[in-house]
Amino acid sequence: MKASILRFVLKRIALGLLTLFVVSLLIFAVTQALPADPAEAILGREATPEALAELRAEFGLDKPIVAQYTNWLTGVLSGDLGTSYATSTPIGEYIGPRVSASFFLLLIAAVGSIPLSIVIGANAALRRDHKFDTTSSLVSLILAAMPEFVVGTILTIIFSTTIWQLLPAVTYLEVGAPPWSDVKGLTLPVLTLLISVTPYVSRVMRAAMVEVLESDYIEMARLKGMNERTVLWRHAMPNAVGPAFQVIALNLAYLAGGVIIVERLFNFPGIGSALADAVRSRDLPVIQFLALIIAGVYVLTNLLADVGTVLVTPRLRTRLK
Amino acid sequence: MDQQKIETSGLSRRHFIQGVSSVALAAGVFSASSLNASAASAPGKKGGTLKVGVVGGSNDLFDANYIVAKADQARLMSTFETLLTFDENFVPVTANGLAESAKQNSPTKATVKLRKGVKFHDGTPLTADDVIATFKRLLDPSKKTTGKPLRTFLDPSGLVKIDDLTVEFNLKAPNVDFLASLASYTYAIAKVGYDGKTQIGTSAFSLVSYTPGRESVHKRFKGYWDAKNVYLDEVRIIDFADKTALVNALIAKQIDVAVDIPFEQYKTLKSKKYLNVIENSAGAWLAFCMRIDIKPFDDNNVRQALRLLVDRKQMLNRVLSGHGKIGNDLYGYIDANYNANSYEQRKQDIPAALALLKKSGYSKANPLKVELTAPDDTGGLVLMIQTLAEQAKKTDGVVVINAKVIDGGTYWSAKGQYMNTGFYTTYWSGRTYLAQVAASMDIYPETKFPPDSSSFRADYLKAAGTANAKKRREIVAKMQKEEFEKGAYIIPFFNNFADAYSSKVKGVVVRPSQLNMDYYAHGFKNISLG
Repeated sequence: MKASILRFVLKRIALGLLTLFVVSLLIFAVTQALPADPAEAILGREATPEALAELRAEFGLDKPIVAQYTNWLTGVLSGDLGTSYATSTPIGEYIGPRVSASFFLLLIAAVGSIPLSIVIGANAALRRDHKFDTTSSLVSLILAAMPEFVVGTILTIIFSTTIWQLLPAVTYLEVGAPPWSDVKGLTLPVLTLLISVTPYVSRVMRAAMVEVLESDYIEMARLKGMNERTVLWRHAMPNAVGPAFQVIALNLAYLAGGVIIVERLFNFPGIGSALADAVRSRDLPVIQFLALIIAGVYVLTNLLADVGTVLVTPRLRTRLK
Repeated sequence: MDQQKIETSGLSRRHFIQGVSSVALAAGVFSASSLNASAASAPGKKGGTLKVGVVGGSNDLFDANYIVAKADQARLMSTFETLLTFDENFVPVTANGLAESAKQNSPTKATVKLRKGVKFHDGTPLTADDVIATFKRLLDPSKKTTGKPLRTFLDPSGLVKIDDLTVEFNLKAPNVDFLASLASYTYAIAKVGYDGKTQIGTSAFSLVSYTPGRESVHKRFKGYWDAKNVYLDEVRIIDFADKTALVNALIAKQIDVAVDIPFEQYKTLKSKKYLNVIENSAGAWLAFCMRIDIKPFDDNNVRQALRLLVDRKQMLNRVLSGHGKIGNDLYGYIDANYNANSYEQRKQDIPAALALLKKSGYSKANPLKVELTAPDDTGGLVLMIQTLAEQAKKTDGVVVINAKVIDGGTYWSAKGQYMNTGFYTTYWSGRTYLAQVAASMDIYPETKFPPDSSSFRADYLKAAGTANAKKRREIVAKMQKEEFEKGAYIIPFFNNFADAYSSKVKGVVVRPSQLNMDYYAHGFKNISLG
């Protein structure tokens, strides 16, 4: 069985790499279709033909399009991510700290929201139509309907600018300092992400749990006289958590891109503002790298969810043989 | 502060401007009258770190001679200094500048003498060679600088070193306004060999680190020539991707200064006891451009009809929450010769606009349909085109304006909407009249005005070479008449700008100035925390 799972994982990794390659091709094609090349976008209204020519030569934009792409690709494959056009800094140096900061934010949001939503969802299913269920359903419906920037803005008004001045309104990280160096400043962005993700996942968890609890094998277990706790954790949970994994994966993948809004709101030095700026200045190496990172998170979370689902679901585990 | 004025022997421009501006002030025309031109609270305590927040991102620049955003201005001003600076009447003076004296000997010649003992942050002394190298860089078209306007009247060969501290500027075309160029903040002096990459200036604070899109750190420079007027130990210029986050950070006391606050937040910030809000105007303007060589704007009836279509007061209220001055399609607000013919304020006049359009054959059956564009990255321009499109509806279908918002990267690029289409928008900082004519006519020919048949260009050259202020005013009046009657800019207003800062921050000067925080307090000189 182990070998079959390994085969499954390897196949998925290969597919993932293919996805990344296609994404990089697509992004390259799209950026070529944008009006204004990087030199024009960067120079703006101060452009002179001489300055344009100089900048184009510096970026290698005077080479044929195919050569530009293959140069970039061979660079990436050999570990050279290139240099940002707009900031003239190597991608690793410029984007590296931002990627880790964003990942940290994402990780905290994931680590917080996964158990929280599973517990809320499972409890709501167990106490179906009782007070906890109706209240949590109502609250999660309301929260799920609010976009992140509304949640973030409300939190800021409550906790840092208008009602109380308890927490910082923005995250201020000294350059070079790790993201956890400003714990207070992280509170509101993390809270915003938690509130944006948890309701969604807990609703799915509840639905899956309700379905499982009504199934024949749970009925059987109960009839055998097993205590409710064993029924729930040993028999119901593994089967309900599978679908939840998929939703969690989708949510995390969404967050990798959606974190942009939260970062902007709290001036968090992550990939969000870097990507927006890069598109504006047609900073191709940065766009490509960030697109790959975001697509990579997508591929990876989906892979983990699939593997996780297979591992926890006996039905799927046996089918792999 | 050094109140020494510049000698302008032979030319009475300074005297003239001062005389006229006091008259203008009395008439309520000049911006200072409406601003609380209060004296600043005096700086006192030594030490501390000033945190300055400004909207910026990874596309920001750090250069002595080039900027695109406010963050770039803040960093330039914190690191570099110009030969001259402007006083509150926009007269070039030596205060806070690197020149000890500057003299315009004739319309084609000026001499600048540098202060003694000025050092760069690396300890090397400032000399005439650095000044010449800086201006050569500005004159080089292959370099990314804002030097374009200089190239019309100065060649590198005109820069002459007289001695270690004296430079002579020999102009190839007359320009009685030349000393104003030396006060232009992007013509800041860098070292010989400056490549735009290593930021070594002469300011009160030297650069420690700069991380694009994050922050720059500047520490007190011990060798500064005016060290007795420096209080802070450190200045941090912090980038904010969003204005709302910037304002929130100030309210939550995470930063000391918020540069360029949105006017929607003006009242909220003003109501906070622990904050100060200052407002400034320096003749900066936003405008609609009509290309006189592109149909239908080649028809003067169309241009003048569109000018009459604008409800300027409504536009000012909508775009800037009223924080500005209504414009009359004339620029050069800070010039003593602004509106030299004393034209009455142009107002929305739909019947007059329709009458003009009828002359050109436009009617409900044959409407004037035009596309108007604005970039998404310049505050106010988007609201401006949307407002104009709405105001055009008052013509009952005779004028139909299709307002389109374009991504900034595309809009400003060489083939973008800016300068390449018939009807679009632009922004300018305040300039004196003739300097703006030069910029709009040749350097950024946004409207292609004047037409070849006009005497406007000849008049400009005559005015730029006329030392006698009264005679020059007469020529300027004639030029403005042509622009008022046949011009191609619609200038609905001059925009103000505002900054907010913690009441702990002392020494902020409130007076008319072209940049936020009174030229970023000349690199945060004279500012203290408490």
